[in-house]
Amino acid sequence: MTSTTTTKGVLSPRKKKASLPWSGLMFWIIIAIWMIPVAWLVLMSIRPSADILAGLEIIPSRITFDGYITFLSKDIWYGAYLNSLTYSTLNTVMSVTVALPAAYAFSRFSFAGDKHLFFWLLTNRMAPAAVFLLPFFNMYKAVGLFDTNLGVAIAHMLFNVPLAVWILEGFISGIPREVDETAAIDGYSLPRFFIKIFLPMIRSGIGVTAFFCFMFSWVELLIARTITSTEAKPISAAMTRTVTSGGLDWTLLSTAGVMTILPGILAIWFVRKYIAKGFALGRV
Amino acid sequence: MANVIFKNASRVYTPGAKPAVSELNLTVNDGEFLVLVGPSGCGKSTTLRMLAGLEPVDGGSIFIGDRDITGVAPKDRDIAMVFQNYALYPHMTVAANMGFALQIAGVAKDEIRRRVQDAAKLLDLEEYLERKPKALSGGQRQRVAMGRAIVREPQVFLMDEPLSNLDAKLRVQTRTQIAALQRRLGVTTVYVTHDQVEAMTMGDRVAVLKDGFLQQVDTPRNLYENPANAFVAGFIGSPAMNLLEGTVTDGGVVIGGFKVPVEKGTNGSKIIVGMRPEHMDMSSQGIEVKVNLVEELGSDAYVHGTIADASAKDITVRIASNSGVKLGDKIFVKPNRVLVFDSDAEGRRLN
Repeated sequence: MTSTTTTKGVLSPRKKKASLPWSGLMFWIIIAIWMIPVAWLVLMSIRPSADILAGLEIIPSRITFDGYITFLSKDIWYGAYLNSLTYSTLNTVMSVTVALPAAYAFSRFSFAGDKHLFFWLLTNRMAPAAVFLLPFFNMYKAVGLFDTNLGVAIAHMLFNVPLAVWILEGFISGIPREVDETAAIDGYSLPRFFIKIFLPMIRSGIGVTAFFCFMFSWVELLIARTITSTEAKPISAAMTRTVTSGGLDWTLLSTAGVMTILPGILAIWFVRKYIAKGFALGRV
Repeated sequence: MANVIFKNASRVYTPGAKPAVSELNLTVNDGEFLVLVGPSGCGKSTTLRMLAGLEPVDGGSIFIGDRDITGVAPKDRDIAMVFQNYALYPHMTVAANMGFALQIAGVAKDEIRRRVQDAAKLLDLEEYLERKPKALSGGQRQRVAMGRAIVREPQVFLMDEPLSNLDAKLRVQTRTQIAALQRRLGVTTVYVTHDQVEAMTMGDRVAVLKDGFLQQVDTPRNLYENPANAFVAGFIGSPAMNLLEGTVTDGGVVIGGFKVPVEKGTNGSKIIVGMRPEHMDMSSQGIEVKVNLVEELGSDAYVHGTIADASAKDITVRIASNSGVKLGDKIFVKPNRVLVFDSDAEGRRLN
């Protein structure tokens, strides 16, 4: 290899891969194919139900925002939406808060059974969610957590804490132990070091972890629906209960679908940089 | 400023197992640059970490000055440590990295700024103070790590292989800088390295460790001239001393058809003969060596060969650069200085 190509390679590692002349076009074609269902959903949400059922129509002939108006004005819809947002956020905060010290301990200390315990965490994700329905239902009835957002958030921690510990442990182990030791010599207590130095250093890991916790909690239907009735009903449950005597309201249902995708898009937008970093650094 | 004293200090990782550091007795004088050197796993880093308080002391005690710091928390020991990977805080600027320890100690803002400025000036880091470590070269990061130690104005500097992450040229440069800086600041320094050249060039005194035991502490010159045992003799000096086992017969050991005179060792006893490559001369008669490789250094040359006898041991000899010796030649060398060691595991020096 000549020296010029080497320098080029260092400057832009991407160049090393051969790039096809029509790769840009291919990218857009693939994106377009993937986007068809989403675009279809968006189009459905702004068309009257009658038109949707009438037949295939690429460009909508009539546009209506009734779906969105109903969604945002009817308590049963926006209430369920807020419920889902509330317990997902609550769950994310609690899962990450609990998982951080745990992941730190797994990364930095050796204690009896640490490796087994670390693996055991994963086994929590091996059983289908349905297995835990009855225990949760029964327990929650007994302690008064039934039909509360906090209850759903706690139930989802069963899946999200192990996931969070695994992801965070990867990031934490990427930070040399000497940083901890330097801080100890500098005079930091463990909690203070954790907050002032450690958290900023693994913030991309926290971002990635929070994203995954939020999304898992957001899309989970089975547990959320079983342990709630009216007060904390999640949006996905509301969507499955739209069959009325008047038939399905297609527009409204599509609107709910669009609204449900939104948080995911927002979350991805905020952590997209971290996700890429997370793939490179940690255990995503 | 203070001295450091290890009194029978031991560290045992797993109870019942061989100690990582065994009953270490060592005094580092006030303002001295002491280098701990040895092969990997010899306990040099453990020793340093015990002094830092990052590793508990399982037996004996450690003093800084008059103060017994054996059970004291790292932050209360008045030390500063530089690690091999520098352990800089990546999300803080160079200035913040250097001043952080002072901030936690409650030093006034002006005072912190002054000390950071002074250290930056000393280390030629002034223009980088507002940068993040990411934007610095390896050598600059290393200097930031040094600066972080300096601003604390501690009683003792601890350095754990701080040059190992630098490339060869920079390492030699930084080596002299650190040594000069330490002399200027006059702070007692304990420095760990596995590189004997670093140890010899930087230390006021060098402590050689092996398998958790202190082998010898002395000035670089004395370690070279008067190694206490075969291990130190082989470890210090580059290229390494030739250590050849043999049996004493009539006041000498026959190597390569030549009787090397040794004044110690009774007839028939096994000993180790130590001869440095630079303490041998080419001659018309002497140890017969078959030349395998000539390493031309310009100023002189090293002959790597095998001894022409039944043992066929490897030997290295320094010769003049214009001698014309080449691969496959047979040469004769005569040692002008011979060290004699016991042939047992301890390898104690006999002469």
